[in-house]
Amino acid sequence: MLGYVIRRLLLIIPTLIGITLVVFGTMALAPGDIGKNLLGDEGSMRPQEREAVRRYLNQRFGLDKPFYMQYLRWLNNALPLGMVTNEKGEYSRLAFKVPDLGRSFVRDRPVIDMVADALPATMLLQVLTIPFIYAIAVTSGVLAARHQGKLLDIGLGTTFLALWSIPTMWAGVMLIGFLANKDYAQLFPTAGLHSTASDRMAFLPTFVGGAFQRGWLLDALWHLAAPVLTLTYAGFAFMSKVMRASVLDNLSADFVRTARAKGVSEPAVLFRHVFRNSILPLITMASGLLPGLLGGSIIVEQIFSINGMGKLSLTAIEQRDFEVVLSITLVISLLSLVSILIADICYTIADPRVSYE
Amino acid sequence: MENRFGVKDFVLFLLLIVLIISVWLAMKQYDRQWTEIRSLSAKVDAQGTDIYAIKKSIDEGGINLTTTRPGGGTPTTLSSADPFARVRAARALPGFTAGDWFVEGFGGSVAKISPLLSGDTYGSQIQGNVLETLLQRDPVTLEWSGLIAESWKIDDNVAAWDAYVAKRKTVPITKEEVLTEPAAPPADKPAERAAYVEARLKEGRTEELIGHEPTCPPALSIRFQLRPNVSFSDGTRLSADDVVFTYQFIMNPEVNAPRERSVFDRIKGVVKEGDLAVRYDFAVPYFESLELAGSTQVLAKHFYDAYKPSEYNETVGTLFGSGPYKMENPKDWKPGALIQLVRNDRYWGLGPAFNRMVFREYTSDVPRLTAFRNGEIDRLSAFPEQYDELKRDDQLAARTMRFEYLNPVGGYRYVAWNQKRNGKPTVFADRRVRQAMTMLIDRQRLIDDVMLGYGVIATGPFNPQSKQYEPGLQPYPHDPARAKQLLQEAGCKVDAAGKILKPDGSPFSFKLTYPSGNPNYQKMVFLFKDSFADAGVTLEPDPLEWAVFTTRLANKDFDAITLAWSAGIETDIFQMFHSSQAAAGGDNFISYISPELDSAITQARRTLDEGARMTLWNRAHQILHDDQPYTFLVFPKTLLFMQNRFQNVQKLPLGLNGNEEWFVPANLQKWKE
Repeated sequence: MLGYVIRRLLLIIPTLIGITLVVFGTMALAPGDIGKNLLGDEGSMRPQEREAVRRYLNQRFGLDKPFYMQYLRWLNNALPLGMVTNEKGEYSRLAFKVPDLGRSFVRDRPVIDMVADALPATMLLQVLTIPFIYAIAVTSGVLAARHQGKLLDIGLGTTFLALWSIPTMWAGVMLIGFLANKDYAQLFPTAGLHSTASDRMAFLPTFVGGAFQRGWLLDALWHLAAPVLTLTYAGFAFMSKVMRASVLDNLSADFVRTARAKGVSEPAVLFRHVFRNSILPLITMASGLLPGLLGGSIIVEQIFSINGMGKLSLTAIEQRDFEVVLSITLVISLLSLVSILIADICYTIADPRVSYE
Repeated sequence: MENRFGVKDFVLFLLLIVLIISVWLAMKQYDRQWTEIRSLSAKVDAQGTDIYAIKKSIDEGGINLTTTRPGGGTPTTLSSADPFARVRAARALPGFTAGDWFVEGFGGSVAKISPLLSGDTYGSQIQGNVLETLLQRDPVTLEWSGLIAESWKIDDNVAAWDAYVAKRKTVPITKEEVLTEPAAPPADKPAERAAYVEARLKEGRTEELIGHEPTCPPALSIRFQLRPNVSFSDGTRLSADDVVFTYQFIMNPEVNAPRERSVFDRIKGVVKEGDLAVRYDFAVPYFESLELAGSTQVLAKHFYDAYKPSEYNETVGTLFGSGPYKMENPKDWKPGALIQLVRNDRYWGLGPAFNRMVFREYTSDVPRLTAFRNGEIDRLSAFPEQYDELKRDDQLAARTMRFEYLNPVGGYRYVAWNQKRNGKPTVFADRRVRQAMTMLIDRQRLIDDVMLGYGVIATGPFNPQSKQYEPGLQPYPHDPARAKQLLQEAGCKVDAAGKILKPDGSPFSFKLTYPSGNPNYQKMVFLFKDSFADAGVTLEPDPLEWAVFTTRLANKDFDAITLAWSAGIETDIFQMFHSSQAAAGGDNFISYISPELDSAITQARRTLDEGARMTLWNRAHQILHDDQPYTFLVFPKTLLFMQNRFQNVQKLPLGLNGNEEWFVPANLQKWKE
């Protein structure tokens, strides 16, 4: 087991280098360059400044160097073991060092700082969304399996499939256009994570002069409602189906018949015997959670004007800000690979029959 | 007993989590109170200092509230009126009350608001409320008047400068001198370096180079006399040192401000001539010198000098100045946080009515529109489609006001015809062909159908409200018959099917390249395609992503492109149309060369006398109209909605009047502190 884990861990390194190489290669081969940053708003250009900016960026960030040099420099910075520079800024010797995720040349900031700004919003959204998705998927999956072929099963299946088919983009826009609109029903706020006056509010809900004031905490939750709803509604359809199939499988298994035969009550059969054996597929799917937590959702963040990781990645790709793109890719792929490994290890714990020896 | 994770454990676990969250929330709340208390105590401190200063002034014999200096000072040729006359007038209006907030909705997110670093319109809009300039344009007459500076004087020294330049031009430039130029390729690119040196040796000494020589007299000097009572939002006096510092800060090559440096390059130096007197020396005579010196936002030396350039480049929300608003904490803003400015209670002039300016970010259109409908944001700049839709909405009309006007600093759209591709002249090298192209484009229909009527036909690069605009020019009409005639005069033929053939016998077809992802450009190009097809010319739409688009532009690798240029009250067209800019990397990407226009542009740029200069610009406009290097399409109008609780919002020649003149009567105020 230990040998297997070590082997898998070592395999992560070439996989990661391969991933970043492919991402970088795609960016390098794609036509276009940093030009977008030299343009003004609405596609107009301020003529006098473009050349000066281009020259400055080339000189400062070496953007006119060959692509492989740019990639190697980034890779060297991002690795814990690599060439370090001496006082004169020349590469002198191989040594262990603190990994550096590089800089955004568009914003002239370390990537790590930009991630630190964007991550909390994304994490908040995902941490709230994932329990909802799991709770609904598991409950509905079990229910559907229990009532297989009945109205409840078909109803749930159809509804979830329908929900799954609604594009997030459209749903988000409709949600804001109608349910955040004073002229229809103002159930949700329009954008962002806080109200305009949120910093003047008390923390908890209070009555100020007889009028209800929702307070900072409730205000934040209210702002989160619509994005979380949008992130959730399409998420559970697939998982619910998997859960249903897995429960059905186990319901017809021999040990269930035995349990029923020896007189175990139906709820106990369902939750003590069947359910425990049915969560294996959920482990597989859970391995996608960690990278999802960090990656965020580009569409939802865009619609609800939330400055999160999805938005950061999208902007970086548009602007060909390659160190930002590479570093985010690196972190997310690292997490994906580690999650998959953890999932594989979890199998052996959940099901003793699985072994990697 | 089996050790299982049961319901009881789950409940305990849940309770533990709730406890941890509560502790964390309590800490968070405590933190909020702490910040609040800190800002309160800072305010009390500031008030104490102010009271002390007032008392001291009273003890010393009265407070000097006037803005003019008592006697003495340097002689001035131009002195300015009260910069706050319009605010004073607004305050005298019936119902004027201070208070309420102004909430702006941005159509994108803001990445940086530190001066010089932000690089987008959102950043500069925020900075405009916090930082101030030496001069400001009068919104009605469009003339310059003093803001931080109370007077200024221009010393025209062009004659002496000319003599020096003429003498120096005869001295050949050396290789060593060439290699020290900033544009010289680095030593690791020997081939490019050699080519550069060769080209430069041939070219010789340029006027800019000679102008920067220490022994060269400045082409002109502008002396500014600053007001004695201007202070930053922390109460520190603004002096000549701050103005000099601003120049030095921008010119520091390590500061990420290459845009500003490319313009400031014309300045030879900024010299302190006294506590409240500064002199800008210019290396070359340039018509926008006064604007350049007068419209630079003055940075506080005591605040910004604390940063090393590399540290400063990394800042995102470091904004501090002498303006009517200030950041509550001038260092702390981070992207994603709410952007708000509070009224600068120690403002040296007449402050605005609003307590706060809040800027909200909307990354897509529907929420922004909805937020405006809900009254969450107070101003909305709309696209023509949005504007038309909202205009028809009666409910909205009852609670908002709207403005449509031609912005004097707005840009224009154009189609540029590439005259030289791969070293060979294209079919568009013939002026008659370009005129024919313009006549095939129905610009009125473009305005009516695509821009829904919100635009004005452009005849050249100058705004119709600018003095540069030659009023006698009539736009070419949409006239396919005359266009065909012109094409035939240029050697084109018409085949049996009515298709036009190029002089070389191939069918007349070209690609029109435009930025993808913008439905507006898309509609426009398809409109053109139809009208060209009617005349027997094939237009192939060629949408490209921005990044690709600019590469093609730089390589001059296109038939025709459509894009927009921004314009100013007085626009310099050197970069786009002067023949010297047709070289690699220049913005004359269509290789348009007209010696007559070159001389008009060069002359105009160095003529300081406005009347004489405008004659030259008018001439340039005429030449561009005759030559049609671009088909100048349209100046789009600015379309704005605003909540109607705001009073005294006026449309002036320079756009809307400043927000410091607006107010909300007490009974309509929405936001209370």
